[in-house]
Amino acid sequence: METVLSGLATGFGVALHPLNLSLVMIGCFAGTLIGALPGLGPINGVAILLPIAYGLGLPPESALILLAGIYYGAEYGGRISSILLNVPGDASAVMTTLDGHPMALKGQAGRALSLSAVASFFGGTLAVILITMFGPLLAAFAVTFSPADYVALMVFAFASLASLVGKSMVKTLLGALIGLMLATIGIDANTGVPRYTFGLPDILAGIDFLIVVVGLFGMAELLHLVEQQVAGKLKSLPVDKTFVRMKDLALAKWTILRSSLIGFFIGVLPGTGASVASAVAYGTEKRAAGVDGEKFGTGDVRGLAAPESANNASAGGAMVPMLTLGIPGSGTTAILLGALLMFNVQPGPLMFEQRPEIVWGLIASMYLGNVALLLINLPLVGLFARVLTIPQRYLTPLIAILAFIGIYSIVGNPFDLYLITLLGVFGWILRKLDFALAPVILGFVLGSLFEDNLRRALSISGGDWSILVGDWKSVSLYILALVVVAVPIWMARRARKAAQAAAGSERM
Amino acid sequence: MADRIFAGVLLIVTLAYGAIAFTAISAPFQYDPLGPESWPRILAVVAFLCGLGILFRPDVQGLGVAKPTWVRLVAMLVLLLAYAELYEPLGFIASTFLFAAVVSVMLGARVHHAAFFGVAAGGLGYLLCVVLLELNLPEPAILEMDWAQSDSVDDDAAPDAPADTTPADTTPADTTTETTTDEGGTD
Repeated sequence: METVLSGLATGFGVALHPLNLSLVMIGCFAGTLIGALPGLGPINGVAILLPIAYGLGLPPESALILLAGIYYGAEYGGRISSILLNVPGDASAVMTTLDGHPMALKGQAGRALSLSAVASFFGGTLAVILITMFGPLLAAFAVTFSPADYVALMVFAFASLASLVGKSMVKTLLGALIGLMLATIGIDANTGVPRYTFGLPDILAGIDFLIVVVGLFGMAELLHLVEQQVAGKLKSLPVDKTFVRMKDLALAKWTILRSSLIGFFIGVLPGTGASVASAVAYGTEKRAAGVDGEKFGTGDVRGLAAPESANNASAGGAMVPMLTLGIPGSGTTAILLGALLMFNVQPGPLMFEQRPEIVWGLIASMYLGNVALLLINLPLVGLFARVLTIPQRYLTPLIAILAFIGIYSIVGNPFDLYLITLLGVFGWILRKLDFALAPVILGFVLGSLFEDNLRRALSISGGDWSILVGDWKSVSLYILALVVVAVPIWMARRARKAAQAAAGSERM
Repeated sequence: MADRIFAGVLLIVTLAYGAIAFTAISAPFQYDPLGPESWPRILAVVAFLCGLGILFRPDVQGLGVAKPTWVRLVAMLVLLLAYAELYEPLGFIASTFLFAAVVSVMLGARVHHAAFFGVAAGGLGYLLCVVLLELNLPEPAILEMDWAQSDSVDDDAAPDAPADTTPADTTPADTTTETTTDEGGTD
């Protein structure tokens, strides 16, 4: 408890510094704006703005505070386009459209927006409180992890990724493998042997993380926008004067609490982020409502509150494994983790001791950011709603311009501009083939960590592979990995059987 | 089908990746049980199995992209590559103006709106990024040569109109020709 309090004191000291405080505000504002733009989600926003934030020469904690603000700000903003346009900003906002848009159609857009802002605030704040309490404990435990345990942790991370993200397990795994293979390019740090460089000096140090990120999440998204471009103009519903009532909050309070907890824990699971969290929370609430669940999908306040509190809580939850284990909890935190590595900060359990200003500064900034978002979002929602009407024909070139500025300003190498364009094409093809892109970036970020720990573990044992299952920590992680893979398969099979049985009885 | 083609390409890449891992990569001397080649070998084997899995059980039939969309996508790609090509020779302001204007016209904006948007993107972008945030963006090649010759050492990043030094006799001719081809070819 004492460490928590002193940590928080350090953190608020950092976060209340005028520069960082203004970065929290800028990040939250920009994040909400990006989230509100139809088609752009948190991961795209962070990816496009990361090189620019890097180019500004900020200290690591300030850059992280800014990027994290964009991250959870975009989770807030995503609801605006979902509610007013029925177009989700990204996968995590899909569930918000189900009940949010019907409410707006009924002339209650203001009520829906303010209710979801409050739900988001509770989800986000509860997540930060949980991080504050359990983060240091988990980090203290994770310090005892041996290299072999880390290998097991990675296996668990990729197992939960494969089973919970994307449509096809094989494709998600293959996506992660593509990321891992990309990460092997460059000089091997242990022996100095160049791998897959083909004599090109440009990639001796490996493929630049920023280029992969901007290519896969900026340029690919741009091509996706061009492909999806609709001829007509999207019609935004007006924001009216209705506002959230106490009755709504009273009705939705348990929903918000449950969904926040669900969102947080799904966020903590490595690799699974807001989209899974909001879907699970929505499904759970619909079932929990019983007969009342029929009303879900027609503008029920609980159906709106559940996914919103869950996706904001998961954004916080995803920070936990990043800060304590050095393993990202979602695609976006994978980018944040890569950003830390660029600043020569090794994320992991030791960060709480060695770089408290980064960890606690980030945590403290999230308290401030959530309050700021609530304050920004309630009165200014009309302004953000106007952003929705920015035509795609201006938005699309803007993404490319921002991406080019960011990438060029790092080292001023025009070759990189071709590289991000080609990676964008690759990412677009992957997306068209139902591959999720988040596993690729997770694999890329975790590649060297995974390999190093495997090699270290085997060096310790002198080449004996049984060290990998040598202690209870790694064994239990492997068991967890099996559970995470097996349970969804088993549940799907059961659901299919139940459906068959139901169909059979109907026929009779 | 699209899945199969992609899986096939990926299998070939994986095979090449694996072949390099199993033959070419090796450390001259090492004491650790796992060398630089072991990890790529593991990855190659697992990726090969996954690729085979998709080859035998594909689930995406086609890309489902209509012909006009393909045209738009390819045009976008060409424009992006042209933007990258002209980024340094023309400098940020001019290349961004061209790119922003042409793309927005292609996506359906009126010409004068697009021109205004281009000016705004180039001008404001420059002011914001170079003057305010002091990021490094390319100057037009002609001006840059000027500065190199005038040899002023001030790193003060206030890139106002350069002094009245006459352009050097070695003006890169290719910038002008490239501009014209771009305007003619992409619209």
